[in-house]
Amino acid sequence: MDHAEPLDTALGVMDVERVVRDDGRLLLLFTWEDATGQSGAGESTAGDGPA
Amino acid sequence: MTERRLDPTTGEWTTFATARQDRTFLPPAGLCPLCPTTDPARPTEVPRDSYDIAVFENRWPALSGHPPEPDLEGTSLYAVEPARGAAEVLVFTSRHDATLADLPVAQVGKLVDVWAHRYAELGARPDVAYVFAFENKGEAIGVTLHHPHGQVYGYPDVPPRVALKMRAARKHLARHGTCVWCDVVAAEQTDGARLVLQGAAVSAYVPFAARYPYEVHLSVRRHAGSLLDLDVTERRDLAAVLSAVLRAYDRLYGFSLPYVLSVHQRPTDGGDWDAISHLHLELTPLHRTATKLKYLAGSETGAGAFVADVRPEDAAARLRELVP
Repeated sequence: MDHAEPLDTALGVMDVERVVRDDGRLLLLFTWEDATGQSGAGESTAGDGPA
Repeated sequence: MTERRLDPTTGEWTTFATARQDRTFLPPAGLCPLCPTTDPARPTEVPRDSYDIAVFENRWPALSGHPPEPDLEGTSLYAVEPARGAAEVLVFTSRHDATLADLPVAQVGKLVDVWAHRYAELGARPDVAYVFAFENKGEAIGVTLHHPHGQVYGYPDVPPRVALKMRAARKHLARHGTCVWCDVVAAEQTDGARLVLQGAAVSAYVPFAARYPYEVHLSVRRHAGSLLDLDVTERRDLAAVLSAVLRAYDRLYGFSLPYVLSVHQRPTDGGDWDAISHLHLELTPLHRTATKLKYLAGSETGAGAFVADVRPEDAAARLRELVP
């Protein structure tokens, strides 16, 4: 398991967890830390609505 | 058998991945391989009890970083090569019963960020010349899993339709000195007849010579070759415009409209593409009415010449009425 350097994105700071499975396939799990510093999986509803 | 074979009569490669015949096909919701793992005795592809967005290498890849050797040897007439490249599955949300149109714009924005991440990482690989993100949505399109997801392919060369568009763009550049996509987006903005929606940075329009009913293209108005060239505001706008068009699609016939979503960005083979590569998304539905599909029949399949049923200006006017 490995975490790359977090990246600033449109939705806050994106963290990428890298997992190599037993069969060798790569799995990436993306999570975002929002402007309030909260993080974790789950959909944000902030900014909903068309441009 | 997994390998690529070159058709000497067309110059196009076909990728064979016969193991894909055995892949999971429309499982019931309780056996969805893309849902979070809730029972350790029955692990899914995502070993977490929830997640934002997940990406994993396809269990049945058409293209792979470590492909097997071809089943047979090539000849001077028939070229064969390992199916080298990348094939990833991109899960949009942990919600099984949602569609991309159902998701909040912020979640679509996260998807845009992940597309950019995969473009950067796969595009940096020496065996990947073109990174292609796409979504097949709906059984009419041939989807095998209902859980909202897309895929990212890393092709070892620039695929045929992309190469065709690049040739047209290069010819336009030589003749006019401008990017054809920049000119198209500007023309659609000026004309307005085929415009569906205009965001702060991104326009959505039915293309002048649309091949599919209610086909819509999304393009950033300034010249930008990939998602990596967009700032955060532009990415947010792309997500918002995409979300609005998908919601309009679902209002078109009163059901969740199947489509193919294609994300086109600059090739990553190190070639001279900057002046003619322009980031754009293509949405290609098949429904020409609520109950009739546009089939790729004789003219389209045999001759590669599309015959369309819906006038682009009428499609755009209808979609404009439906944009939320």
